[in-house]
Amino acid sequence: MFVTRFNNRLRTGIIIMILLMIINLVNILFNSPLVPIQQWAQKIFYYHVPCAWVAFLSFFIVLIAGIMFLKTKNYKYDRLGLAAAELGTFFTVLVLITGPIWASAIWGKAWTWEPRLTTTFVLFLIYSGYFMLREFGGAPERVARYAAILGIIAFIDVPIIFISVRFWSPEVQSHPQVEMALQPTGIMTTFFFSLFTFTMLYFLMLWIRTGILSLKVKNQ
Amino acid sequence: MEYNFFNHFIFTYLIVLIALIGWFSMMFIKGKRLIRPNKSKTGS
Amino acid sequence: MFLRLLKKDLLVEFRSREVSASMLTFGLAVIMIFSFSINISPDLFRRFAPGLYWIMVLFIAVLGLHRMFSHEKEFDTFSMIISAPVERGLIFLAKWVSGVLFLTVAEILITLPFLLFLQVGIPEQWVILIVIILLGNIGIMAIGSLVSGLAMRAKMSEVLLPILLFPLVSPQIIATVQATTAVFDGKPLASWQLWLNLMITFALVFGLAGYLFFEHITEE
Repeated sequence: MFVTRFNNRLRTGIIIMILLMIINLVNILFNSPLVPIQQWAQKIFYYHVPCAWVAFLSFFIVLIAGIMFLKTKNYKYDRLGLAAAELGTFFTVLVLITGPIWASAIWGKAWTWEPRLTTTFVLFLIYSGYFMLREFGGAPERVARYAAILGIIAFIDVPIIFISVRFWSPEVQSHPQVEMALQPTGIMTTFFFSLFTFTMLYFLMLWIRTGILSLKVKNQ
Repeated sequence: MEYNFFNHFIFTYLIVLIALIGWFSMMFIKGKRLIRPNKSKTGS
Repeated sequence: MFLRLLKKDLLVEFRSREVSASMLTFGLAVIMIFSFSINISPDLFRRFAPGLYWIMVLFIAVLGLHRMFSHEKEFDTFSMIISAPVERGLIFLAKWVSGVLFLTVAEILITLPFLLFLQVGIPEQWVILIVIILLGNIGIMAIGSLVSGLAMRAKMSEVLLPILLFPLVSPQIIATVQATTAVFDGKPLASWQLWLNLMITFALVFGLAGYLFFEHITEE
């Protein structure tokens, strides 16, 4: 009963998601202007920025889930935190791959210690530690508590890391995000549609992951 | 001189696509494994 | 009560000298490795010295933290303290203060050999340098004690501790290295005020976080 209802909603969700992704791709390919100088490289941003946004959203959800878990001790929030941490790391890796692809085209070098990239990289490291803590932490109820605390600390650390890296390397080329806001509307509509698609995709993935995690608990 | 950079874009797109397909198939396999023993339990 | 906990930590250390002795000898070994592996003129070395100094301090801090907390783990003292009606945040504060004290004692013995063996020379504003080092210690030990509490009972705590600590502590390291460099160069306070503020913020934020979360760390 549970499984079939889950399945039906899953199927519609995935079909809608595939449609949205195709529309998004068509939008990006044909419906947005080519920016001078950057040409196609600029279009990487329709994937890169939504991934980054979704990753940070995900880490924010880890924070909320951590606080809720410590308050209520309800394992629902622990599963939500784990799922969000996994997805956040997944999208962080995508950001860390797509960023250098763009940078190697435009800056001519794949990596600089630029504030946003560096903060993302540090977050990736922290969350690698987070999964190791989950893996080797010992008793499950203790691990749930510790992981919640680590998720909260990691999120508190983000602004501090960002500020420190920003003033540490002020001469590094800044991110082009600010300039993008000044671009023609053709870019902005496509960009926001992509942002919307990825947010929807993220929530679908989060729903699937938490569903599987709670299914695992039910089976035991 | 302006470069086209089309390769860079396609490369990015493929990476995102492959990662997503990988994730969904992984979840699919995980879900299948979890559902099956459940079914046999209720069936017997 | 806080003083009593602190006294306990100091007394244990005073009797065995485990933490400070291991920190001290390890620090001297690191200085030796530095001088062997970095074979450049003293003038050039002076510019690297702040970074190397804080790398050394971070390694020493990890070593000391691991020693401090594995001592607690071996004798299961946490569960004994917990059974007493002590506010758990105070356990954190005692650990934090004693950690800062051990690190400072080790540094008192190590900083002079570092400056002299590596031919850096003692900077003119050495009083300010001491203040910076103290502030650096306080920040590192705040997040260090918190993370050690998380990693303490994991299977691979000795690996998990640096993996979790290094990315989290990165803004503090940036700030301390920048401030130390400024003092080495004899720059006025105004040019590195930012880093001072960052260190104070870091210590306050993670001190508070540790005080609040230690309740959930020690809880059984």
